[in-house]
Amino acid sequence: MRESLKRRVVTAMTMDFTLDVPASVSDDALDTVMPFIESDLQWADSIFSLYKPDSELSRLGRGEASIGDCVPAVAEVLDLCEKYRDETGGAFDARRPDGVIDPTGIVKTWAMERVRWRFPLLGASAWLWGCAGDVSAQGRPDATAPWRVGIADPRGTGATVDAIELGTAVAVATSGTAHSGAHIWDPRRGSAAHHYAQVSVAGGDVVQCDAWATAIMAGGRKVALAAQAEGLHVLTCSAREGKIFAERSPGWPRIAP
Amino acid sequence: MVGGASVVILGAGFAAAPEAAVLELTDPGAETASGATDQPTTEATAAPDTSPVPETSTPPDVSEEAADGTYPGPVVTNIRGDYQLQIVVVDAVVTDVEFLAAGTEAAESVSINARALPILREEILEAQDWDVDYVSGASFTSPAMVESAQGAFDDAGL
Repeated sequence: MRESLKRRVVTAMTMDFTLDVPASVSDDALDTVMPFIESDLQWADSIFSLYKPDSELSRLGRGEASIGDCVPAVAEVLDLCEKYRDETGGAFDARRPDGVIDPTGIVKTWAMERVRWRFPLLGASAWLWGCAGDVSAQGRPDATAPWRVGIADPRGTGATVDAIELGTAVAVATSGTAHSGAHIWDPRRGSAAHHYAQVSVAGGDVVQCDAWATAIMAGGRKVALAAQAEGLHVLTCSAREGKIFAERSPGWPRIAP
Repeated sequence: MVGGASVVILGAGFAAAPEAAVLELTDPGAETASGATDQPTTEATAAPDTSPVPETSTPPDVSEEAADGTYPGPVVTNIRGDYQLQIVVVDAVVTDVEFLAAGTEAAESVSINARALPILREEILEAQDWDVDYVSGASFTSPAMVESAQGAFDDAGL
């Protein structure tokens, strides 16, 4: 981490959310704002978690509540799921094989975007906001360099196999199977997807990047090509014979090592 | 590479037209490629008695492998600027496509290019030591999440 930065971490949805800001941001401002950000995220979890039987989404799944009974955020997220199902040609699909609607694939990034309005309250000229592979940023951390984001080794070794800078693309999302086994359903094949070990998508909107990264994991190369029509940049990784075989779109904003 | 074998076709699947989207690159460099200088001369001496216009250039010989090398395409100009790309061939396989010029550098132009030319370059990545602000990896990297998932698997008897 650069010396010119400060990092704060909040926990929600059993994940760590990290915010990096220039060191010039006061601790008082951070101490005031971060608890609100944390409670916003925890609120989203309380509404959308399928692990919590009394969440609105769980009740919706059991047929105990209609969308009209839920807070408007539920309709907003389900609309987003439909938007990306349409945009990705069906490769991103929040409907599970058992019929339950599971928007948790984008709830995290949706919640991340939802708290962004609070960052200007910090008086920060720049920030980097990330959680478990998904990250968005604004401004530059210092005068000499843009924000830089590494791409993790899909084998989960902790190493970094690629790195990009955030400029015209201000968001990156990575989806993969490294830490959780195959958890992405291919709605068109009706089976767990095994196209790639990991997919990263860079663009302007972290929710869109997240949805497309998931869609490419589910739908493979054809979807990776289609993502470029949306102006997105793509890096796919496969691990074979101890090597990382990658594919990248021409606009992938790589930094020279 | 013979002069007639100047068209390289790259399959480029695309969701809007899953089977049909094909990118064609003409390779004018093939006529003047170094090492091929003998061939035009041979053709020139053989040609005068027949047709002076090389309309009937021989079709690509599919049995002949393309030589390794870098093949720049022609510069194509439109209202948005110059466009040129080159391909890298190794063992008769296109291993990379580079955009030497792609209109203006404006984001809109890049986006339009992406719309027109969906493609993925293949390569092998090595773990390297970058100085980065954040690492983007697969989701569920939080220790808390791993613990939670482990608990869920335990509960499920898996």
